[in-house]
Amino acid sequence: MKKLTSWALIRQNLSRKPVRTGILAVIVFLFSFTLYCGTVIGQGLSQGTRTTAERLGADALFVPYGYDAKVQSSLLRGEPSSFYMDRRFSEEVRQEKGVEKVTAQLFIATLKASCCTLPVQLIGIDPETDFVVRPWMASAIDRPMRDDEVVVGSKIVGQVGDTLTLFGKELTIAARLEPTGMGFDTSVFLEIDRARRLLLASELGPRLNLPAGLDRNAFVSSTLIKAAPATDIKELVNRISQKYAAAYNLDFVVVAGMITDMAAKLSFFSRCIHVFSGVLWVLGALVMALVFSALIRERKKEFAVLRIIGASRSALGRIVMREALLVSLSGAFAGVAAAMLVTTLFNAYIGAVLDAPSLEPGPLYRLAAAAGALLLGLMTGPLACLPAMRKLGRIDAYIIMREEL
Amino acid sequence: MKDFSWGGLIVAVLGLLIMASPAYFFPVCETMISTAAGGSAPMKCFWTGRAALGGGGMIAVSGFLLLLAKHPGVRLGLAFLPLCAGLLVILTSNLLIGVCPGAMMPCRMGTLPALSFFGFLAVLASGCIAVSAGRRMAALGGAIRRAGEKSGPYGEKGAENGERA
Repeated sequence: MKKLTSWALIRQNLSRKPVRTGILAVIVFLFSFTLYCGTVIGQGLSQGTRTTAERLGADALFVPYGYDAKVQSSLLRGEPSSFYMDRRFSEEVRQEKGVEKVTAQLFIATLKASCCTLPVQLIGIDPETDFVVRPWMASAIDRPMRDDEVVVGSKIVGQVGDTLTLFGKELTIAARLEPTGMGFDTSVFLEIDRARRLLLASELGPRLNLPAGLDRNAFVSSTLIKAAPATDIKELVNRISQKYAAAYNLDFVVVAGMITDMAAKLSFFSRCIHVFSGVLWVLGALVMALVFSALIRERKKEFAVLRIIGASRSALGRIVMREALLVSLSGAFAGVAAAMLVTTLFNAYIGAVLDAPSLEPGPLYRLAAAAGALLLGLMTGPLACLPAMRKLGRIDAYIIMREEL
Repeated sequence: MKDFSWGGLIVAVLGLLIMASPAYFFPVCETMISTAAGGSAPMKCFWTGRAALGGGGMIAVSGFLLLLAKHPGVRLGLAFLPLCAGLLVILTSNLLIGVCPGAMMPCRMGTLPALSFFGFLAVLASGCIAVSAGRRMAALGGAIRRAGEKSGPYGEKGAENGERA
């Protein structure tokens, strides 16, 4: 004959009511899942935004009129685009007061690349003046790029030494950059003059629709400016715009503003997730408290019998508490496991859907988030069953059993 | 232990999700590769999508059969079908056929994780059904054995009459 232990009772109570047990576990599952996903995705976006601000290095970008949104989507998400402006602007603006550094970049969207048959963003950089890409390119390649070499972002297919066919030309991958979470991850970098020659020699060359008056051998896509210390960036950008906008048909993007917009979007997302998790937790705890309260009422006779055969009040309390703990544990564990699986597998997809630069948080952060979500999920059941346990203390075995007779 | 009877429904739904993912929820790449001969051919994720259609169909059908089957032996045998088909879905999308190499291509960002996730869940659910059916089989076998020992080869009456003695 099997010995009657509290664990055997708990197991039987839970397995005899699979629907009730399942619903309670699902409530904890949803809470833990939402909490983990929200925390990890929020951290990924915050890390992506921070890296973008750090890596961009420039204070303002000048682009052809109407292309401010295009350059942002190209920089942040790597959406390929091509637009052109006069190179002379970057030479003239260098003379302006308050301008410390100036560099030009050429953006070319390929028709398709051998690596993936989808358009890739080619970014031509000026090796002599560049202050945006080269500082962090230095860790990947410590010498000037050769004419037949390119440096690729972390998400471009191919190993160092492999060849990449762009516009019908085979180029060797000289280095691969570290993940940044921004559009640079899906871009290919090469020397600006080489990029221009490549474009002009390609099938796109003869059909290239350059704005009127633009020299076919001296066009760029954007001019990036770093202001001198203690310079009012807004005032500088306004001054440059007023002076050159009409002559060069310019538009501008202030990097700090772009980052602030992203940070505001991110903070809203983060707040939404945490409010949602909080509401879910309170609702879950309330539902569980109601269920446990009804459960105690329903099982009054069972507890009375247990009291009669010698179980103490604290033993009954332990049974209810352990039941709640087991339900919470199964729900929280399944929720965190599912959330870890989903955020790991769908990381790139989530970043693309949210339309913001995103970097996957490190394993330590993810482990801490998992432990936090597991702990909070685990606490739900025991906390919710506390009011029900007070009722348990008021059970009078004699009266309950006499009512039965 | 109660039988995991509604597990068949979960398996069937997962099978339908695997079938629908490459076509509707997380579509594979639509671009065609230009061949050297001047023609065009679909990318390899297209074939992974086709394989998922077959694998998912097999999982969905076995899920519905699991809903109908009552005998634990039949359920145990049937549970191995979605388990193997789920593994096949994971293997075709990750190894045997694979998807396009580009990290930002729709098939790698969406279809591959979706097929891996649903395939894993199908394997997990089928595994639970198999374990549950296996336990019921063992319990049933034990009960039959006990009944046999109690009644003896000639039945309870025969044993009482001392025919075996």
